[in-house]
Amino acid sequence: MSGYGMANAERAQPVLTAREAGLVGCAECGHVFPIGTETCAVCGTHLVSRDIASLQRVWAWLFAGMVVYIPANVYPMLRTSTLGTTQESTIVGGVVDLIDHGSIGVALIVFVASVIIPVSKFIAIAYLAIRVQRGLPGTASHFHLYEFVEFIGRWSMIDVFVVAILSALVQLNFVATINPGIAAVSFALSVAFTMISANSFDPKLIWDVPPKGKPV
Amino acid sequence: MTEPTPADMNVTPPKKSFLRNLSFVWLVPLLALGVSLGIAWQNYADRGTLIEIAFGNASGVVAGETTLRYRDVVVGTVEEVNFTDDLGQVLVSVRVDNDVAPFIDEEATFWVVRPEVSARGISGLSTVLSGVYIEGAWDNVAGSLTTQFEGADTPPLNQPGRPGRRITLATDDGTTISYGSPVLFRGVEVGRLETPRLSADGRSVLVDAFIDAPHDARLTQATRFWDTSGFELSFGASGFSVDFDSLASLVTGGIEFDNVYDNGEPLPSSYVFTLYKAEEDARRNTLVRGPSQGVPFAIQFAESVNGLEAGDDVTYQGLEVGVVTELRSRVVETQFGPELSLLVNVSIDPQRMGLPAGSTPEETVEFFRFAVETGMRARLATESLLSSDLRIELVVLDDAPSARLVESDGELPRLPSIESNLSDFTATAEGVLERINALPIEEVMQQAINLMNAFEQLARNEDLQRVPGSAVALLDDTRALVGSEAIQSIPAQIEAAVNDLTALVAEVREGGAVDALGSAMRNLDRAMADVAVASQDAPALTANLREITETDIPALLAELEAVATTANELELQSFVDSATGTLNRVEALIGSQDTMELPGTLNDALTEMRLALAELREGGVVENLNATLQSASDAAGSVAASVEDLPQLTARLERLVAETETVVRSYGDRSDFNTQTLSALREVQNAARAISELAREIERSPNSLIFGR
Repeated sequence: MSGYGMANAERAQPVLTAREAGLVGCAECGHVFPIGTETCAVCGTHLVSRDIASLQRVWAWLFAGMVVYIPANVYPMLRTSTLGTTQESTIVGGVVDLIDHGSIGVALIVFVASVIIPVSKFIAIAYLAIRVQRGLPGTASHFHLYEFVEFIGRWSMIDVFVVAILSALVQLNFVATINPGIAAVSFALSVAFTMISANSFDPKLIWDVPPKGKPV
Repeated sequence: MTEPTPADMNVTPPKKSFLRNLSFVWLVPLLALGVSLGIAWQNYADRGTLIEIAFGNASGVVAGETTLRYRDVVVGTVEEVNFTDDLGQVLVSVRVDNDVAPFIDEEATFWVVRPEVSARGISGLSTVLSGVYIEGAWDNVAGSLTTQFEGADTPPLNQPGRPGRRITLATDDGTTISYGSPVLFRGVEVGRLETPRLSADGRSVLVDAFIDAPHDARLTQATRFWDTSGFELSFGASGFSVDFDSLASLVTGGIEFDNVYDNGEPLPSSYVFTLYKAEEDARRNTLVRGPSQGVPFAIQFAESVNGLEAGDDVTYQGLEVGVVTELRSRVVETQFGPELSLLVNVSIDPQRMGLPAGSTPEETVEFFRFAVETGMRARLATESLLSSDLRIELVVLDDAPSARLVESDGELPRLPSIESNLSDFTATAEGVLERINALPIEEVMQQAINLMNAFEQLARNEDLQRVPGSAVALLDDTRALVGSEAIQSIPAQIEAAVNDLTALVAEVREGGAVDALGSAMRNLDRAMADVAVASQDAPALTANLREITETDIPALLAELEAVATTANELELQSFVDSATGTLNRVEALIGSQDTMELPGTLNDALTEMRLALAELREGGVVENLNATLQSASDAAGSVAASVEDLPQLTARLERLVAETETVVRSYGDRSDFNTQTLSALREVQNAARAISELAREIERSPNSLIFGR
């Protein structure tokens, strides 16, 4: 059975995919079965050669992530009360405040984690999804891009963790109190949605070339 | 090993129908979108209404921090602090919570709460720590939303929604009233004054006051306001007195009000109260003042109106019916050429004249037209005897020369005036004062003092003080006489005498001794007669003394009483005369030689009596008697009889002493004499009081002196 895979690997040019070989591979254990097999005999995973609904889920979660990313940036992330005066700061506002206070390093981390990474993820996923839809054959670099996006996604949660820790620690009543704002929830949701979006992406679609040059 | 042949490419092409392939996963972004939009909309809806408040300065107001409070609850936050276009004011933009925004209508007021220390206390202390905040006040009736407001510098006195009534007061002088001064009703604070302002014409000071419910229900047209600011210093018969209402009103001024009569008419919508200087003015002036209430008239006077001023009363039969509004002079063309005459404008209240409420000015003029034809005239009168203030008096004279109400276009109807009897009256008053001045009050007082001195002198008289001593000596002598051996030995000697007498009788029988006995008896009789005469003088003296005390002094007191009575009966001049006469006579009586010598005479009499007794004891009457008895046994009965007279004499002496004692005691303390002296003094005191009462009565109503009532 593994012979098919080896054969495929040997015939590198052009790439013979499992689908072209009339096989379906298990996404969990890598075992291949003849196409049409419903369940993996090894691990019991439902076998699908190409998840045709995948792109819909990618787009749906991506949109959801982008939608909630807007309030995450518009509304305050932190509500800080010090001696009776309340101050609210958004993500970007917080970064600006940090720069003002000279903590450029921290500002950079927050900015990268909260702004650059999520935005890059939106662009990357959208880029890959569009490519698949247009039937453009993918290369290894595209696959690496996908893997990077999937890996880096969780680090965006760093901002949410900071807010959660601060809110839990700084509860000194009148003197100083920090409470999470609406943006904290929105941002957490945005990160979660984007991660689901990335996970929904069937990377096998990257190298599929539709027979008639039409999108799947 | 066969090459594995790939299975048939049983690849089904993707279904073309997009809708049929539509995944449920699309609900997620839709949901996210919905939630986000929902949050956005809610946030937008909740962010409140933006209003702008213009302040003169925004000291302490910080954008994003300063809050807007209503009843000390935060209902908004300052978003922005800007300037108006001309930089004239600070424009504070406040985001107000939506639930209170509908109530913020045109009546809402805003002011910045800062710490303040004033005469009425310390306020806004909490803002020291938390920073200033903007306080708003509005009523609890939702109205149309207004977004532009003018902020106040100070908290408004009548916060919207607070029940009560806002009134306007007018006064001439605004120095004693200030913002926040209390409005008192019977000393209880029921309202506050706002900042005084000048009226449009600059003639008066207007100040708004807010009277809290339910006290605003007391306000009617009968309400009068007066100033209770500062303190009142008065000086009178009871000494100095300082009055002030409260410390706050002392510092910031205050006004008080009361209704001068019951069931006052309800207030019209824009009613301006007059603020009087003092309660007296306010209560006196029950007349409704002002051009709208009174009907104007003019009166032309030919004489001087010195002492009359605007605001003085116009009275009819003593009842105040109007007020003098203006004094001016005008040129009148007479047959002798132009002449200056004085014209007084008055305002008459028709209701006070008895006309029905709601009478028109025409009806009032009609009434006066008729009244003038039946003899009503105006004349000047003095307010009181001792002041030169004048008022105008409306009088109805039966024998007045005919006149009518002068009415000409463009001028006020003119009431005819008659000349007052002002100058005569003043002359009469002067005469009265002169007569009072001429009264010999001081002389009367001097004589009263003399009288007291004479009494005192009498009491201090040495002779009078010696009287008790003499009486004691007299008693001693009498006792010595009774206890003398000679008297004691009389019975024994009588026995001896009887024995001798027996012998003597025998001798007598022999003849010759009877004649000698007869002459001895005659001598004895003479001695006894002397003693009797001496004894008789003393009672007469005592009688004289008693007569003086019982008759003359009561008569004197009666006269003093009569003086007091006469004084009370206001026969002033004759009272003074008779008082003078009486005092003269009292003084003469006290000072007369007889009275002064009275104690001396008494003393002399007692001395004589003592001498007589001493003589009786020492001078050989008894010895002679013994000798005679020894030699006269026949005369035993008559001797016994004459000896029986001795106790009688003693009794009389005792009686005399008792009487003397009575006299002496009557001079002593707590005696009738003293009591009567005291009561005499009291009468003098009463008389003096009657005089002072009379003087006060004259001061109060001098008319009574002239008119006899």
